[in-house]
Amino acid sequence: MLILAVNPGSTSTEFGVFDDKKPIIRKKIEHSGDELAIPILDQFEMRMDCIIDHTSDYLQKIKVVSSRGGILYPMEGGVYEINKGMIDDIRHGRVDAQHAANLGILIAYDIKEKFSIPAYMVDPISTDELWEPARVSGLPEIPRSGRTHSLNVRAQARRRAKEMKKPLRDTAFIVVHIGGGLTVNLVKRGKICDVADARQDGPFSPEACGGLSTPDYTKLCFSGRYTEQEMLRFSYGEGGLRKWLGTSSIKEIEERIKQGDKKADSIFRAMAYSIARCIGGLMVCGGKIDSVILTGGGSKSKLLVSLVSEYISPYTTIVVYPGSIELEAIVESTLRVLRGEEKIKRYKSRGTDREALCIFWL
Amino acid sequence: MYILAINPGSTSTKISMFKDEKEVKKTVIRYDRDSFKDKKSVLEQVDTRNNDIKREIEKWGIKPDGVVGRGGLFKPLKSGTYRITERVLADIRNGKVQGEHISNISALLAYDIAEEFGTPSFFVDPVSVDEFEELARFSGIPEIERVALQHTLNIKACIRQIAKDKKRKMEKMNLVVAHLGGGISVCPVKEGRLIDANNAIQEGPFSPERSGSLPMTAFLEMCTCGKYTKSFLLRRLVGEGGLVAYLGTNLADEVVQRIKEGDNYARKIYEAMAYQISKEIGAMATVLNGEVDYIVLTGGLAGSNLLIDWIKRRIEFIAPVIIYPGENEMLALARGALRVLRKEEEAKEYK
Repeated sequence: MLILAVNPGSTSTEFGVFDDKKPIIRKKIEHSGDELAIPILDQFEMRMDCIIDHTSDYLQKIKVVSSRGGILYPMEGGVYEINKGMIDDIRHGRVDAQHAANLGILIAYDIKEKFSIPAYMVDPISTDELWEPARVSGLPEIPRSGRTHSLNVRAQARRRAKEMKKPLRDTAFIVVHIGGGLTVNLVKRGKICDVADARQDGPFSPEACGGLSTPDYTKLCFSGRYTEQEMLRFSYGEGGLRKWLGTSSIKEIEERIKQGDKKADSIFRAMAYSIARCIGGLMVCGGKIDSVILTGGGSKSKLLVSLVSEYISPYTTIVVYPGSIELEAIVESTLRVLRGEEKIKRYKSRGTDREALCIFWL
Repeated sequence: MYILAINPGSTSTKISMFKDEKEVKKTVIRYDRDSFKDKKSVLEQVDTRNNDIKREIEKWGIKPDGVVGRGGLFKPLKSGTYRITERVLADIRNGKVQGEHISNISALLAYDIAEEFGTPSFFVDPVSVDEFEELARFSGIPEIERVALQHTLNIKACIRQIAKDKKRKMEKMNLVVAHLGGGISVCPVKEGRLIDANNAIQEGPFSPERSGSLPMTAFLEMCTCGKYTKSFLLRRLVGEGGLVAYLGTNLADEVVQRIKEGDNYARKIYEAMAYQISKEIGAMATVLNGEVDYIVLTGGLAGSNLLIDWIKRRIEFIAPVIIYPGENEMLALARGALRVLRKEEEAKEYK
């Protein structure tokens, strides 16, 4: 059975045609600055053309189209049927979500309409499965959120469970996704119960500042030294390694460390230290943990892996799954639904009920 | 040997006279919330408080061999007992401290009283004791440093206590000590040194009065939405956050009472606090590379069985959990002075 899987990222569009799990076409197209200069939802045509150009031979034979899940309302992970309500919510800005993943939903829906095939989305970024104690922050105004790299995180947890020959419902993992952002996820019985996010109160990452002293942050906010946008960029793109060292490239930083750059060495170790602390925290919250999984692009760094492992290995097994398996995850989840191993979930638009939104889903 | 210990709080001054380790006299001088309303700085409270202390100890008729005050938000210092010198006093008077706090003036009070008796004066293990290892100092942006401030006095007293109880050398033990009070400090203790801390006013779990770590981008929105002033937000973080923000009280006993009466919301919030405290203990245990001999829970909240049970259940897989409820600040101060006067330890010099 042919499946078209789409995974739009902020600077690239990844897609593939799969015959069951076997890739027939697999592409990742990087977009130019000009192409990306327009608002994300306006990039629809450009990204769509990109996919059509490379898959036109197969489009007539595709049985299902499946996208990475976007940013909608906080919802359970899993596979959702893409429906009109979802499209309306995105198009009408009812979800504060100028995120490339939402383009995937629009693209899949368009293909569904043209070819009369089912369209799914898998593990939305707005997956929120936190258990109750994890939702409470120190202030009632701002509950903690479960937004995370859910697609890759859930897929890696399933992969590890399979490797251990254990049913997913009997497992507990900490999955650390290290990209530009970084999330430490407590995945218990396949559900993401708690998250330490580098954009919120988690560790610092290549591009995000992590949790900071709140009184100092308040003073910085009101100091007039930085605009709101600049403050926000500490958490999105310009904090962490990039702010300290001028680059978020782990490769480049490792090179500097090799050449004896003391500052780069300290900051890189400090990042590993802050990641380890968050892993330790979630380990306690999860009870008995089967393994800690390091994944995402950053886990390709042997140095980072060994620094983090030093702190964690006394407590549990560490496995490294470098990179992401997002396209595979989309296909596998879709197949599970098609084979009846997993139930498809229905998305209900909440219309204009803004109360239902988390205020910070930018 | 007689030791006079002085511990000023925002609305009281506690004074105790110790004969060696035994508290033989004690008084709490209380003040109204409004007593010092017209004073711009804590420094202006010194005269009033000093006179009140003198009046009380005159009644006791005991001449102390040493006077000890609590340390304040001083410059980063090594752990230990410090002789109060002109240099400390000058720094306090000139505002060379890490922040305004009533504990800053305790050195001024102790020095004045000691002068009268012609005895030495000391302060012990101030909150600004800094034994952080290098990596603990970095946050995710250079503008905001992770700073060593913690409930040093009680934490160090607990480290000594557990060394004594377990007949071990404190330099040969690794611990995680969680001081659970109105503010919460969780410290990994490596061979006696406090190598990291959540900093009770900056990060970490929420506490009865403080909000602890928050989701940053959400908090940014709170800062910039125009609905809240800076001073409101700062109060919300320290003083009116945590249990106060959710339940309108900072009293654990009251929360427990409500839970007993079936208040599920109170239960949810109190349980979330236990969850966050456990999380922080787990985080701090990690940086000791798995070598943790004991976890110590101390401070006022360590007397709340409900809270402690929730925490204990989560963390006891790491190491045996020891509970030292309450915090005996006065005794910890007196002991600090005694160690020096008995020449078991040398007084540190404030530079």
